[in-house]
Amino acid sequence: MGVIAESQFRSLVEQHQSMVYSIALRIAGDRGAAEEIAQDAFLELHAALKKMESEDHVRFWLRRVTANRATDWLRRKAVRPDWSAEQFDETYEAAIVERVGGAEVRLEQMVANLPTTLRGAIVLRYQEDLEPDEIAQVLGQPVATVKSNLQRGLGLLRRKADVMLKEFKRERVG
Amino acid sequence: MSELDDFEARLERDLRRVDVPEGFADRVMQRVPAAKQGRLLSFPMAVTKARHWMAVAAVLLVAVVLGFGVHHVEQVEHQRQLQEQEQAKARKAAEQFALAMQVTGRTLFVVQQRIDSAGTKTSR
Repeated sequence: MGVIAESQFRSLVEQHQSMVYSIALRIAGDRGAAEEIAQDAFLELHAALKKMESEDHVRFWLRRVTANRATDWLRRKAVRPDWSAEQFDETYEAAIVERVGGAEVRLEQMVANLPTTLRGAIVLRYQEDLEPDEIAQVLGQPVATVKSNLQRGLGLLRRKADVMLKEFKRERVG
Repeated sequence: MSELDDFEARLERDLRRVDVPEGFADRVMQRVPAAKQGRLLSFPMAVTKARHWMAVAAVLLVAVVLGFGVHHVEQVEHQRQLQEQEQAKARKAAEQFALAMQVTGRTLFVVQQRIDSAGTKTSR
């Protein structure tokens, strides 16, 4: 137990910051919240360093804590009256357009609009390349639930993509 | 690749990890000392404090139990000594009573003898 020294903490942050920030951003859908969630995840890691048994353990732990914190943030936002859904979509979509130039329809934008229950599984599957049983461990859900959420999420994304593609073609033909 | 495979491959492409905002690691490291003194370590500190108070409480409890134990043993010993003293007094009183009865019996015997001898002289 405790194979990771405190002096290694900064290099752990630098090694995993992109993973942690990306998970937080894609689940929470808000850049400010993603930074806060990611920072909190690393500070929790710092407090739990003695419990870390290996690099793999750190990676798994960070994914789980970040996904949980981002989902908690979404739940809190859902009950917070001063926060509007339009503001959420515009903020994140503006960030995506800023990054990719907005030239084409991005599936990332559609993922940001998926229901919360499906978003975590889709992000961990296609951003982190995790298998359903690994996602189940990270999210603390049964494998069957994860598989079902992945299928439902993919189905929704494909339908949205089809609709957008048809609209795009109609605009070009028109 | 099937249609779904293409779609998933595109999803993977679109969901590549993004770069963190500049200075992210510095901001995390700046919060580490604050966290040590504040919120994040407040739980372990609370646990440490709780453990400290639990240890103090345990020591106090043991002291109280030991105190009561010692007091109880002293009480029992005191009672036993009182009982022994009472028994010794009772034995002494019984011995004195027996001695007094012996003396009284002897005295009565002497008196009886004198009365008897006086009666004999008178009848002569």
